[in-house]
Amino acid sequence: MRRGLYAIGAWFEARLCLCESLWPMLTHPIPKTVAGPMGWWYIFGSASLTLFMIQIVTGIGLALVYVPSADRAYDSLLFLNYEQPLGWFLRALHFYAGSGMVVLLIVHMSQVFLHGAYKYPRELTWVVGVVLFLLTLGMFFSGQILRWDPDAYWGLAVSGSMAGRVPVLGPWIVELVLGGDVIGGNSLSRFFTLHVFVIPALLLIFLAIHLWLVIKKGISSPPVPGQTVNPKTYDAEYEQELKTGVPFLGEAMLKDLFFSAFAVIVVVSLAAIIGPKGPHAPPNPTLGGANPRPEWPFLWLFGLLSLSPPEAETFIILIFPVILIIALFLVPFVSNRGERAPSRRPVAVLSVVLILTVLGTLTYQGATAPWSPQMSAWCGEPIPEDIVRRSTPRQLQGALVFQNKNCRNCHALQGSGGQRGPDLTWVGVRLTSDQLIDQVSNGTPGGGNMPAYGKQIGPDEMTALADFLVSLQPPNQTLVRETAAVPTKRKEP
Amino acid sequence: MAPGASNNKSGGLRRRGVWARTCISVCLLVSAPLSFVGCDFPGRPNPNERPIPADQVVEFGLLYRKNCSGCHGTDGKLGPAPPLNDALFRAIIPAAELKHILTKGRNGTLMPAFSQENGGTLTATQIEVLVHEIKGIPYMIVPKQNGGRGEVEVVPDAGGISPRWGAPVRPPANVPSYNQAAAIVSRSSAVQQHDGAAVFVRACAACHGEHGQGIAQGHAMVRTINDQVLLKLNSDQVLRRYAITGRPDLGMPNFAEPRPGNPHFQALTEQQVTDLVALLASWRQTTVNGK
Ligand code: HEC
Ligand code: HEC
Ligand code: HEC
Repeated sequence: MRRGLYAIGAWFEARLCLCESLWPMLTHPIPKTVAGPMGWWYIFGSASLTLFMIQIVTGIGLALVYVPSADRAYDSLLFLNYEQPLGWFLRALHFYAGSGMVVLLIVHMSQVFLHGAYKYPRELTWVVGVVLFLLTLGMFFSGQILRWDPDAYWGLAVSGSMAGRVPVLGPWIVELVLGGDVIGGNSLSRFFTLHVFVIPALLLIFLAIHLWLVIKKGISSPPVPGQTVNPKTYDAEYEQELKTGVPFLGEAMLKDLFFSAFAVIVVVSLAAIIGPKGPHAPPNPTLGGANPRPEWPFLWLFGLLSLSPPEAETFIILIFPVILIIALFLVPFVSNRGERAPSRRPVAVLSVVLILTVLGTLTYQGATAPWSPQMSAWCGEPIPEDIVRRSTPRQLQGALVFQNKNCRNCHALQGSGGQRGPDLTWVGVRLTSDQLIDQVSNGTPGGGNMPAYGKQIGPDEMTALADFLVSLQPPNQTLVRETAAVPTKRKEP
Repeated sequence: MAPGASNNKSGGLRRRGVWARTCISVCLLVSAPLSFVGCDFPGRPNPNERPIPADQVVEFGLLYRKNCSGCHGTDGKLGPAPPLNDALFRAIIPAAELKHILTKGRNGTLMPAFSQENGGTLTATQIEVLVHEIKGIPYMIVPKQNGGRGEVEVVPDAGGISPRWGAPVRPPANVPSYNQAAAIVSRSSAVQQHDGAAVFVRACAACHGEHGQGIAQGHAMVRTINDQVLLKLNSDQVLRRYAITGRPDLGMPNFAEPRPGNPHFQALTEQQVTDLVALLASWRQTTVNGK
């Protein structure tokens, strides 16, 4: 029996030469120090690879059920969530393993950057790594759209406006990406194709190149202060170092396996405990939700947009990301020699700290920033009852105008309602009737945050609305005003 | 690549220990998901939270909260728009009129159209639910006959869902009819306005002032209804309705309730209500107190 199996194995080996070529790869020598404690710095890349495997397996599972058509996509996700046994778990795992991949890639890239591992002769490894990172973000971006819920809208709207702003080719790219000049069912098929065929294929190709480079050029040894990289002498030095090296299949691989197992446990637990994300109602992203948010890797961009004036939008959406990407690609060409140890590269350390802090803050801003509202639906928040009680009949009409024109989607009364504009509970203290009419008629000058309503609100409606808004004052405040008004009145004959 | 070969000699023994540990790691990795089997996963979506597409919501509470409460008040009371949760109003408004106003809105007022054909968000079924609930007719939601998959319709059913605001009350026999458009007008509008003014003094002036100019409270005028802005934004129909139902949530009496200082108030008749509306409508053009 054993001999039989062995014979079969030998038959294949004789033709495929798998062991002959794979075994040296697995046992290729690595610097001795990597097998030591410093080796714990080298585990992030392989762990993201492990999560990528999970993504492939869970992705195939999801694709078996998911229907990439505008009217069924959402239902198929509900089916997974509520009917298919463990379908929800599959969705959750796919989400958290994907998130984990992005996190680990960021850590991996920071480590490589901090250890100067991208320097000669590994520039290309870094460049291909950046491509892998961008492709992973591309997977996240296209994946969130497949959910086809209000959050998907953000992705679509951004990619649409991004593409639309490209000079000359813009309309053509919009057509290509959205499958039409507006967001619709065709857009979904486009992103499905990207998500399951195009980007994964590219990912696998570039992954192969990355791994090939890692094996061919070897992994860098942990940096030692004072030991500089000089492209003229590096190769010989590295070869010398490997003379005392150890095979990868050993301590180093064990660390990788151990950490991968840990990463898997984390994502599996997150999936089981927190569960799948969405889909949220309503299923039609063209409606837009009250509060659509992009997935977390893009929240920083969203946060940046919410902080910036509208004129900066083109720059932020189109030019800024391109600059960032180019900067990432250029890293190894700016400095591919010299010191590698972080302790001798304060600028590098500082920039990593700075970038991560800025991204973190912007992400927080993005997670909490208000977003432009859905303009076509009623805000169901009632006018607070004490306001109704103390209003005159005309002011009540003003309150109706306020609700009818959806002002509430951006403005709260006593804390309930939209947060985009200021809370108007006491606006009567701040502004006079004329100022109010001016604000409502003209909105924010220059087409800003508040639309101009001059053309949509008739004169009677405007009078009633202004009367209502002026009445929004604390009850005793009105008293103060009235007493103040008495002397002036008395002066009159 | 080549330099590694030198290491193979000592590798044999070491490799065995390595493999043992590798195996442990792999087992750990594989068994990680298994350790969850048998637990009650907190991440599993709760079937009760399954989102319902907006056009398939047929639960009155949700429909009302999303679409109407902003203007008509949290529970159909104390909103800026006329109260819907008002027994007398619910009794006298004809179901056909209800359906009409929900479908088409009310022209020239701030009551919007809700049917999808008219730019709104509600389906015919959802409008039927609202009509049954407001009128107080128990109903069932059943699969539509010869309809497509998932299509439903609303049918009256005494044993079905009972309306949230209760069963309809029987209105008093002398209640004026709701419909302003159908009111029979056999006299000239000048006569109507003249008679209406007398009715106003009797039934409304105590609270709204002799000519509807309102009454002074501190330094402000309150309850002003002789106001072009107010009247232009309100339909004759809703003015008629206020004259009949009052506004109990804000303390305005209905057509038959006693007035301040007049406990023996004679209920308003059909004709008196019609005359009152003619008077108020005439104020749209000429106002004593335009402010
Ligand atoms: C798209 C969101 C949006 C909508 C809808 C909107 N507003 Fe605004 N509004 C804002 C923002 C943002 C501001 C802050 C000032 C600015 O940017 O001009 C603002 C400012 C105001 C102010 C000045 C408040 C102050 O304290 O200075 C008033 C009053 C106001 N809005 C009334 C209205 C009314 C009435 C409506 C409905 C007819 C309305 N808004 C609709 C976004 C909105
Ligand atoms: C934007 C504010 C607004 C919203 C939202 C709104 N209404 Fe109205 N509604 C009004 C106003 C104002 C009137 C009075 C119109 C008039 O002058 O005749 C009214 C009148 C009505 C009437 C007739 C009342 C009468 O006395 O004749 C009914 C019935 C009604 N609404 C039902 C609804 C229902 C049901 C909804 C939710 C689907 C709703 N409305 C949503 C503002 C609103
Ligand atoms: C007992 C006092 C009282 C009497 C009598 C009275 N009302 Fe009112 N009316 C009110 C109150 C209170 C309001 C709520 C608005 C406010 O507080 O200013 C109101 C509101 C109104 C409104 C505006 C409704 C709205 O919310 O926009 C109209 C129209 C109106 N009344 C007409 C009449 C007519 C017509 C009569 C005579 C048949 C009448 N009222 C009799 C107390 C009264």
